[in-house]
Amino acid sequence: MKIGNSVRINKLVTKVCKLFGKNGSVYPGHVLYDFLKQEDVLDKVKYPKYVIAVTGSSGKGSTTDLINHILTDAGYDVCYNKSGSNGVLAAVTLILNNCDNKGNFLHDVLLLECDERHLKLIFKKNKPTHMIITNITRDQPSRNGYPDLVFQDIVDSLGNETKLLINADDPMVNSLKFTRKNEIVTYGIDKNDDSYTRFENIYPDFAYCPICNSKIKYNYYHYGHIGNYECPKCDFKRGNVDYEVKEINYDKHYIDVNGKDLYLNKDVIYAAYYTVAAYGLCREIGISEEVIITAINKDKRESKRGKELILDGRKLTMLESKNENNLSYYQSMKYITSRNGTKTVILGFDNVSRRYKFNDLSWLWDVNFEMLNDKDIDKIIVIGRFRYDVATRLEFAGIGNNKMVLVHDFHKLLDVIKDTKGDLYTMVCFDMTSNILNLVEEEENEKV
Amino acid sequence: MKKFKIAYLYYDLMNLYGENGNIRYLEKELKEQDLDVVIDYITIGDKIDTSYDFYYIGCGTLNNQLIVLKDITKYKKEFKDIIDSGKFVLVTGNAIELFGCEIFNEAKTYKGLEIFPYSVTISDVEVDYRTVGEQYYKTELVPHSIIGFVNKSSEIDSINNNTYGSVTDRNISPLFKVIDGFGYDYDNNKYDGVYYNNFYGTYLIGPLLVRNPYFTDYLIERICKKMGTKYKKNKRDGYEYLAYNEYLKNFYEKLNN
Repeated sequence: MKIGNSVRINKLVTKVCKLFGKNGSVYPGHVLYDFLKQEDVLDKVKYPKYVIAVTGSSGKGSTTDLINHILTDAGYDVCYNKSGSNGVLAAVTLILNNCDNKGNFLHDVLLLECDERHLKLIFKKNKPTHMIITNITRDQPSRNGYPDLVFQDIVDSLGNETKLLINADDPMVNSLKFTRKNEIVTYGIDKNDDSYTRFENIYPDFAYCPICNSKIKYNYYHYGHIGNYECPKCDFKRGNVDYEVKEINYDKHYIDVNGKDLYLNKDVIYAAYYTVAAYGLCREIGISEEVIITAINKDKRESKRGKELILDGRKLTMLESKNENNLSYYQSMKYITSRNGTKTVILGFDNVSRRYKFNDLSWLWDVNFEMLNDKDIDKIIVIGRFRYDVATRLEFAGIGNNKMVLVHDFHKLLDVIKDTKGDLYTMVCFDMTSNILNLVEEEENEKV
Repeated sequence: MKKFKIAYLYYDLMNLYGENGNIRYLEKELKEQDLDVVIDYITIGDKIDTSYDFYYIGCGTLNNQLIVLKDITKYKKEFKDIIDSGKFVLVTGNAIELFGCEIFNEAKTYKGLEIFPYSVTISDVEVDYRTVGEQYYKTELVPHSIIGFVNKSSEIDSINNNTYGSVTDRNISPLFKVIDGFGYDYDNNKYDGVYYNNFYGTYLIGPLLVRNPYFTDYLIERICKKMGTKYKKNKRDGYEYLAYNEYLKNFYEKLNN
């Protein structure tokens, strides 16, 4: 099919979706790609000067948002997948909706957050000019198998013409520096107050050198397997990085990158990663330091780590925590334990995933729940269908029955909460989040 | 108190799916039996010897499995002694593959420990063709069903004393019978695992001892018997028992009745 026809069909189906009140960010691509078998449709698009892909296990969305903010502020006309739909069908829909009937892309920049597994489908022939790879971590093993396989999918998608901006603190990602001919620029975070040197309980991934298979030595960790490392047997190491966060100041909301202060809009380490990545990318496409810094620093809306609400007259912070992703739970627990004052934590789930029906519970033992052994935590409330499995794990983390409360009937949750003290934090996945939001709403309605 | 030595082998390579849970649960249960439990974490560069009472290996990535294979095959004789003398060995996930005769992957053939008469084929396209899902098994060892999860891209081709009879004369039995789920091979899907003396091998991944407390209790009783200590009956009222029962109720009520 000629590209013009694909563009017309895509636009038409998008209109129809809108007519029926659907958001239509994926369906038009589905029609072209799956029904009409136009799997090569993106190969025919005439791309603009800058095609930027952002991929990796976590941090893709925030990095893409910030790059869009800077580029737009710098006067570029940017098209990006704001909705967060990041698979090939969403890419087809977005790209064709922004082409003329000859397949010319109509903006200065195409900026795409890309699912790691879909990169090779999105960029089959036309490769991006720039690509950021944030990190590779354990995530949804029922879908992904294990992290190496996800990484291999990314590598398989690469052409030599793409300039790579990679997180050097992740040894798997950084191995590209040793295996690829691409032009490669790196970013990372220097040692800071939160860095640690010894592992407890759970052993990290990629403990062995991706080049020579010897055990690598860590000088320090930031979290998981992210940190500063070197191989004692070969040349593989983190090494010097091009864009380095030298200091993180959470209280004053800034990071120091190569001697410049950049505003940090969340007080968590991954915010430092997406800020330095966005800064580096924009520098690499030739935007001046001043313009980038002005753009970052002017966007002073403080973005909260989680949704903040009121329940039982107390502050409730909802931290979205992804099941089957130990680092997602780690970030939530790190945040909770860094807050002052007495607190109560709510966790648990009815289903491991909303994407598939599998309920693999192995990951509960990869999460360092030992962190919840904190004197400021009054009670830990365990909810959901798998509450006994979670309770088993928490017991091993040293959390006793004086601290743990199991809720067998979700409708009784509010009564249980009333018997606890301090600020409330939920550390739950999407489905449970909406159940708890309903609870907050019901409570509000009862007051009226 | 009698000493009970556990070797957690390749803890930093074969640890893909929360396997540490098995060791932690085992340690807790053995301590309740008044055994003085010592756990040694052993990996590449350390030496494996026959002095331990219990050996454990978990599941790893293909790359890590091959690193381990190269190392572990230095200890063929030791492992034959360990297994033939009836010491306890538990292997979960793809660790079971190390104990066969051959592993085929991408037109290459690797030699295994050559203890049991089977070969293994690992799919060349690991990510797209994986066997993933919840498993429901029976075993002759305990009346309680076995629950767990499989996530693999390989299979034991067949257990064949004719092919590998010259290498090994150990007659093994499957550890589990498949009621709902997958077996060790794609074609039959009837059985999972390997059972011989006190060797327990299964493709189930992750903390299966925690998830199957009745099975673990059986293991503990056997260990006590072997160690010559009196087995103290488990009250079976911990959270792990509630979790097991709840899981069967939620997912396998029909099959269980």
